[in-house]
Amino acid sequence: MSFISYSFVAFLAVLYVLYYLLPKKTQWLLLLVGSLVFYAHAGWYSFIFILVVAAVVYTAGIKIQDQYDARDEEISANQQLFSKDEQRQIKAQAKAKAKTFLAASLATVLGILAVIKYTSFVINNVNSIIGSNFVPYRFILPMGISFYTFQSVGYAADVYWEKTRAERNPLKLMLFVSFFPQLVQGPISRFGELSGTLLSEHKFEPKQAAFGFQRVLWGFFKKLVVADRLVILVRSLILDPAAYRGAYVVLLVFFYAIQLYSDFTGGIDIAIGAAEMFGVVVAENFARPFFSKNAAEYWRRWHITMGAWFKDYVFYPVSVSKAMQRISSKSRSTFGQKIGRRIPVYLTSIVVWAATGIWHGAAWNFVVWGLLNCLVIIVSQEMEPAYKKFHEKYPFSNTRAYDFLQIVRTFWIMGFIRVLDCYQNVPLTFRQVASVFTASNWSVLFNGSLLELGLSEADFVAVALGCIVMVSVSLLQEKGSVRELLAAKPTVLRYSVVWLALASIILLGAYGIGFDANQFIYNRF
Amino acid sequence: MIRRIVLTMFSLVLVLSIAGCSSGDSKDHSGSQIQNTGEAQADKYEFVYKGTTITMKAKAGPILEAIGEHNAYYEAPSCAFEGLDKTYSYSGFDVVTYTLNGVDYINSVVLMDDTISTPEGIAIGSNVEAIKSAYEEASAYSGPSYTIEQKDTILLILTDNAVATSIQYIAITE
Amino acid sequence: MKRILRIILPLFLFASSFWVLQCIVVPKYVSENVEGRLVAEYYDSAGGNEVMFLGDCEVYSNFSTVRLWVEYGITSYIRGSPQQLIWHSYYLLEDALRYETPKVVVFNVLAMKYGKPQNEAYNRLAIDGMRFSKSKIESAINSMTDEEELVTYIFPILRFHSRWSELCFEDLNIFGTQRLSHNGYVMRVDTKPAMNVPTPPPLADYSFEDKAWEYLDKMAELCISNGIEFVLVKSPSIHPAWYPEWDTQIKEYADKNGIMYVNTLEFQRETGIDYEKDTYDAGMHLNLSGAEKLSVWFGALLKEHFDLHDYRYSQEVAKVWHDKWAYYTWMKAVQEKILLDDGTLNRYY
Repeated sequence: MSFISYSFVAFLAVLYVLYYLLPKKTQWLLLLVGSLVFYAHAGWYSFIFILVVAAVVYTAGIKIQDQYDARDEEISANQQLFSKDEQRQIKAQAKAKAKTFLAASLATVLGILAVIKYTSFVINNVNSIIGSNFVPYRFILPMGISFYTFQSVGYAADVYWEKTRAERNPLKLMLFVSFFPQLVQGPISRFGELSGTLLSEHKFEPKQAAFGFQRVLWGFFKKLVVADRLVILVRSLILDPAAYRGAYVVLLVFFYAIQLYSDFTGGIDIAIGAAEMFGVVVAENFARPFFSKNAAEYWRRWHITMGAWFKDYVFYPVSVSKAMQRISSKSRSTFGQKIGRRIPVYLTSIVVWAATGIWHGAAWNFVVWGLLNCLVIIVSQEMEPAYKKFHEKYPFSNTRAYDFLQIVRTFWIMGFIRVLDCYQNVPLTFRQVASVFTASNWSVLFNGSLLELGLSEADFVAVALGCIVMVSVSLLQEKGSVRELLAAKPTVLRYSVVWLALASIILLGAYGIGFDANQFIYNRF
Repeated sequence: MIRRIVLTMFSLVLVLSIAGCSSGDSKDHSGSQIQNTGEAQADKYEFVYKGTTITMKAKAGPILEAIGEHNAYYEAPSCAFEGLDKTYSYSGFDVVTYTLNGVDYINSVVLMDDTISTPEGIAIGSNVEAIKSAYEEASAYSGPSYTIEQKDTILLILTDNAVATSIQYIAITE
Repeated sequence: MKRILRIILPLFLFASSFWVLQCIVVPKYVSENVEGRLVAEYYDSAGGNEVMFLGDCEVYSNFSTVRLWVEYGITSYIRGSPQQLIWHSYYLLEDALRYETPKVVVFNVLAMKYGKPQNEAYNRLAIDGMRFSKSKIESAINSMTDEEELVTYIFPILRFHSRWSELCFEDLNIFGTQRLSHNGYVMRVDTKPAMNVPTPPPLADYSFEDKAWEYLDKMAELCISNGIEFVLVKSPSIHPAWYPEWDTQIKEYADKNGIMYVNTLEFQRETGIDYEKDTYDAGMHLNLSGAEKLSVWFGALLKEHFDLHDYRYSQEVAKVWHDKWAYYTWMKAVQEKILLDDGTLNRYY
């Protein structure tokens, strides 16, 4: 069930009414039923996978927790009898057993993801390397498998690290894994953070209802007015790379950035807003990423929960792994403290970014995309001392105008890296980007050629209006909550804003016959 | 020094990545909403007149120009909307076009008598055995109509008493 | 009370303002696709019609309701729209029965050739004009093509929202436009003789689809249960083809069910229709002259077979129909003038 569908709107409305009509004790159960209904729309094939993943991490969580509970019981019962060493030994034994369960569960759920998502990619590459002719079997990707797998892995690891206690009610854990707003494209939630509001009872709060509704509307606005309209132009540019080179690639970088942003953040707004309507607080996933002044900041503001997941569950464990410790000490002894210190960090970064890339899709363009992001971040980190000197020497570099230049620079750098996602072919992407530097067709930006890409003048007006609203809201958000700001205004003004938003979505939205229904980009990751 | 090492390392990874994908790029594009579509391919059985192939759903203008002057013309406007079905009659066959966004496209070719035959040598009056040997797809049928459905074209051959009574090439427009 | 008002008032304002928006964006069918107005026009003349015609353009172009009145005092209405499918006709009849019960229902059988939803644009013309009812919803459900959504028939703004960029002055007139039809009849006075009519290609299968038969049965049953005489007619046109194989099936159905079936193509001499003079598009539809000839002949047939009242002597009804007749003659004069001035009939009035 796509967020952008009449059935989703009806589903949300019915679920919402039931949620506050039924006894509060049953609210979480209703959300579970709703989530399963939502997921069942994707078909039984998809349904089986989410059940298996939930069952595996549930069992692992319980088993891990049992080890720790038995350990604590044993230690507290025999506090006086055990020496410190004996206590340490008991803890180590419990940890080792817990680790076995963790490893088994991770191997299962990540194994499923790997087989489903990467079999054909691996076979294709094996074929091309050794010249074999294996048939690359391609599985149908179950909806949201990358997201709920990561969320489940996070849960198991958190129980193992004792950041959270295991959930003993399997249905409650199932709800955590399958909670419908975040199922298809994130955010990737942590059990410790989400379960508090997800599993508790909620009474109807008008303000919360209004805020949730406004957030959902905002998501629909971004998605329907801007993203689903721009995708027509973006698709035209991508599908005929030979015809659309040079200046057109610059256009693609620009419009794809806006399209992806409004599509992805719009979907996340709908997810967070829908959850908010039910009183559930879901982690934020974006913080105005296009206001970033460098790549590292950009990645702290874009798809935040994914970045945090990789940091906590990949970067950190890899950094402290025995292999990395060995590399660290070896590199320090070989290259000296200054260089040796950096090598393990960079190696870990490469691993993390390669993993991030491959998580986005089983193709080389995603791997290269990840590594290029890593490269930009490391280079800018290495340049940090030089930047510092530059800022000290030249006062103009500390002005707002210079900040703006940095923002523009970051926007374009990230944009050019992002086109790897468009062409989905690394050499072609590099050829297309290279064509910008030899381009002689800059006149297409002004001579009406833009109107031959599937969008009319009216469409461009709608996109421009949408962008002006998005930028204005983002600027306001930098100072604080826009919804709080609105809530402080007189009733007539508040209602007028909501009316305008609704009218804009209905009138200007690119939906229905004549517009292709597009799935969220992250739907099938 | 450190920068050189880092850069060299990255260049190596990059080159390996690119080399890897140029030799065997994954076709798994499931993550994107934007997919390439294949080029349209000509159908196996199409009508040819005086060396001009009359392809279904192709733009009618150049084809009609190439096949020369018609003997008769009839046009039927759509009710309420702007469509216009046009029938051009030639010696032995009719060509019908439809309009889409102001452009005419080929909708059907109907063979009217035995003076005209398909490129496979079948004409009105040809017997069922000849039809079956000309069209391998037809050999599985027992008649009286032989429908060979292709990507854009249906080749329809109707028979009566084991001989062809009508031969039509019809565009698949839905 | 105040609290309730605080909830009701914004809801009312939201609903009414979106209703106005909807009225603005839905097509008015004034400067193009004017036939889109036909279905909605019925409600102004609903009630008191003894004959109800149902069908596609072969009905609304070929039967002159005003001529039926002038000649025989028959009150009639045509519920027709372009490419109206048989289930469109069925649900329009069901809808009409909420307002009146005619004595005779005449259905044009050309629509039997379609057994599946065809085209969203024509669905819109046949359904959007209907007032909200169960019949409208069922008509939409049965007609929708794969790309369509039912909710857009309940809230057409969801279908026509993208017209925001092409709105013009006429769209602001949300309270109706001048009537186009004469109780469903759409007048054309111009002439285009039928020439070079192509030979229809033989078909692989002449049987009508199950859904077409199903709705023909339903229409017959609806008529019987309401005490209405059901008549099948094939309106005169020489293109598109009406195959003899189709005719045979309808004849058999009519015989089997004791229904009157008139294939007007078999009565060319009796109707006096001359396809050189009586058609405005080379044989597809009749012009005014043809429609009047057909109506005179068909009206006599109806009078002969059914107990239809002559309302010309009923003062109240006659007054209403006199106005209709005046509008009819006015439009005829206007069209003749347009034809004279412009050489072509590029608008109805």
